[in-house]
Amino acid sequence: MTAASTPWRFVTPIWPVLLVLVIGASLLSGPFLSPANIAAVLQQGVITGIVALGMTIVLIGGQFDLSTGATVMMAAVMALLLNPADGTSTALAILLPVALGGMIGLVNGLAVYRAGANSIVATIGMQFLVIGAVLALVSGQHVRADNMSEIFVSLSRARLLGIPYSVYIFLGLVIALSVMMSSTVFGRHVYALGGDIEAARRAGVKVVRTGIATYVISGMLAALAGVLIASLVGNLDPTAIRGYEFPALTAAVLGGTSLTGGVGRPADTAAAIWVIAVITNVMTILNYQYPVQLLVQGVVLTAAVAFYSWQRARS
Amino acid sequence: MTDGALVDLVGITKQFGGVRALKGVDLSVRPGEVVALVGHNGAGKSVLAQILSGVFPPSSGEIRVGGKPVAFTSPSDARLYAIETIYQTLALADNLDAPANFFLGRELRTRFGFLDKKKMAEEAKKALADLNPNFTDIERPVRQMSGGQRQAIAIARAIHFQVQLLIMDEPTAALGPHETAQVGELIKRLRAQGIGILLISHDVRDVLRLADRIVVLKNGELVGALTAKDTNEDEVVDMIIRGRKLDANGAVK
Amino acid sequence: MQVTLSPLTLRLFVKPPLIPLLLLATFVDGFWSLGNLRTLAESISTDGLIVAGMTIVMIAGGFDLSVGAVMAMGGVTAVVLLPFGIVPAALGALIAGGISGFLSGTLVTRLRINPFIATLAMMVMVRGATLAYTDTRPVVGLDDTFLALGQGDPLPYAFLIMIVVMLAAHVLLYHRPWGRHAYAVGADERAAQMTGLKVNRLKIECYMLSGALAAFAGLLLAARLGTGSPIVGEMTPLTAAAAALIGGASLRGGEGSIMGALCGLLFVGCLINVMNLLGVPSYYQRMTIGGLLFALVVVEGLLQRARPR
Repeated sequence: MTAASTPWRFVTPIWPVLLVLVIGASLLSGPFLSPANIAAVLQQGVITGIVALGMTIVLIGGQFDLSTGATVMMAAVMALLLNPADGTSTALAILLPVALGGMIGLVNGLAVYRAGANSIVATIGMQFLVIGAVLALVSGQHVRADNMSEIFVSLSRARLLGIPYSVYIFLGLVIALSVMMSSTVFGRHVYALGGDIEAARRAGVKVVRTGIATYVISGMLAALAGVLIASLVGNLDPTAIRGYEFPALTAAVLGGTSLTGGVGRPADTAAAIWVIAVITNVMTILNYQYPVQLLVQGVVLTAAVAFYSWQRARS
Repeated sequence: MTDGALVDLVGITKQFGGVRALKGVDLSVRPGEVVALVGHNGAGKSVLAQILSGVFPPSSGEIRVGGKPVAFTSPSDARLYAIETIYQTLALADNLDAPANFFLGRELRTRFGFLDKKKMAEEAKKALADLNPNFTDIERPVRQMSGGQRQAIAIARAIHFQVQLLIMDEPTAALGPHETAQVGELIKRLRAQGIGILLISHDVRDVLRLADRIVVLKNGELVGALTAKDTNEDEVVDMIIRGRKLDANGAVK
Repeated sequence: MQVTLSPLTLRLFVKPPLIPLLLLATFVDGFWSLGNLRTLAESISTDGLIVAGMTIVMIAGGFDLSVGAVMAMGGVTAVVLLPFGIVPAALGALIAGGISGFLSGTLVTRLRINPFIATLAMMVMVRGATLAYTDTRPVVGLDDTFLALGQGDPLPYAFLIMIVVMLAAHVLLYHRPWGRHAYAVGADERAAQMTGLKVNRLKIECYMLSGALAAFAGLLLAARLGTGSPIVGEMTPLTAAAAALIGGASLRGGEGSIMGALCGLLFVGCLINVMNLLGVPSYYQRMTIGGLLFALVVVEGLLQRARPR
């Protein structure tokens, strides 16, 4: 690996890790390579993955967004409440939550880039604000949508070549965001923000506008993830949908996104998402429950942060 | 105001909380003129330079470009008026490579709206080679480059685009003697092209060699202006320290 | 060095909201009743231990998001060790909290990980370990001595313990060199390093203190609730951070005081108490605390910007 390259060309060891893991997992557990399980792994990564893509962009800009888990929940509940039965309500059930996610991102962005708020604590505050508001809206009850339209259900359940649509949506987003970050002025400016915000400002970059945009993107992506959950389950306990921000953060960091900003790539985050999905999947097959998985995620995040900070200190 | 000046600063003050960093400063720079701003640390030199480059607005006073009052809300506003700055900190994004820093804030695009990386790399390479022919390995994060190379990027991007007024904040502070001489040559060349230069420096000898006029700041006030060819090191130093100018008879004015 | 609340903070937060809130609370039925004041004292006593730890960590320029998880771990540890006696139970909780703080501090100092991320990771690991150990169920089997710790008449024991801890923390911060060093490290770490302070060691000690206090708060909470629950403390880092910020601590370090933290604690405690009295559903309470914290960091950001460069 060479550090002598610009951020969008930086090579992380996450791809070889993914390869080794997939091989290891298929040797370790028989059912891993069954087509159904592969589709499940791919799909399992999608929800967290979409959240993680947004997280990656905010992190590259040098900030954090820990409100996304709440945004996922908000969007899932909203989508079901809008009862996507016909064409119009389906469109609304997709667009409205995503727009609302963008609004949450806008408020975060204003707080962080306009007011100079500490992004971690501010977005944790926002997380509880949104969770509280959503639970108050539904009085903590289950929400369900009956007669969901064909299109809405197909978002996550229909398959092409045995792979759910949502996986293609995720792959499309990975490609689109990769191009955006590596080959557009906006992407370049986000990297500059994370590298040195004052230098970017002095070079004429609209730092506030660019920074707010990273949060809006993150909020919209998180909301899209929530819509996909809604389309998958059709009936959910809002309190059960939470905590997506942590695996998303873990994936972004594992993919080589720097916690101090300026370094990272959406595609590497996607690879990391599948690394985590494979680990989670194997742990589920081997019958390790949620608490242990939580513990492992914490260890993975710590190890990843430690590894990359050691690596950068060396170069 | 001065006739034919590129920029006039009129009665500029700057207040930071309870601290008055500038107390009514007037300054003009004409095309093809090198004006040196000297003074102690904390005299207000950098603050004045940063007001002129749009980093922050003055508390009161006026900036005029070509005689017309302007208001800069950000450095990009100053750039619109062809005012470029080489900051003491260089203001480079360490994680980006030289072409990215060179074109930061005014990236070239292809017909489809994407970054034209190839063209930017070529242009940046050419511009940097003009300053330093040995500087060819430009596509790596500037974090890994030497002080001289980083300086070259900051200088090159300031003079490459349409520039009429160049602000140089301690451009030689981090450089060796050879590189300092190169910066001197560059200043002479730019002056010959009719570019106005505001040079901020600690080095009185440098200033005497390069500047047309020398302006002395002390405690946020303008305490005097000297014509470089009519003065000497002692007089300038005396004015920096005492904040007063000795007249021809050796008496305090 | 900031020995008192910064005047700006005092003007903006502490004096105005606390007094009007108390006045407002007067109109809420039953606020001043003996029973309610006891409930208030109980609820702020466990949080108070945590706020004291959080304030110290923040003064030294850090942050501790793991306090809620560590509190849950402390409660569970104490209950699990109770068969060996109450002293081993208390020591066990303190040691478990101290170890967790030591790990947080090590991540922050030796591995140079951003304190928010380091303690966020610790939070997830401690929570995961506690949930895994208890299989997500509360642990029971408390003896009477332990349960008595959750009582106390006329004042709850936990409240008295909180007052003692606050006093000790105050003395530690203002009347011992260690406290001065903590302020110095928080204000300018490099300068502190150059004057010969053992910066890393001091920071680790801060996190250990915060961890031990959080775990002990967990023990007191378990005594009050009668079980060691692995899921308590989800909101704790938020309420503690809000109280510390209201009390004049800064996310940039070097500022804050125990007296301020006490004000902040009282403010947040009264706010929650009043909402409970008014029968406000927990969702709205969550919303309020989240919104309060969000607003606090926005105001802090604006204040930092307004400062002279």
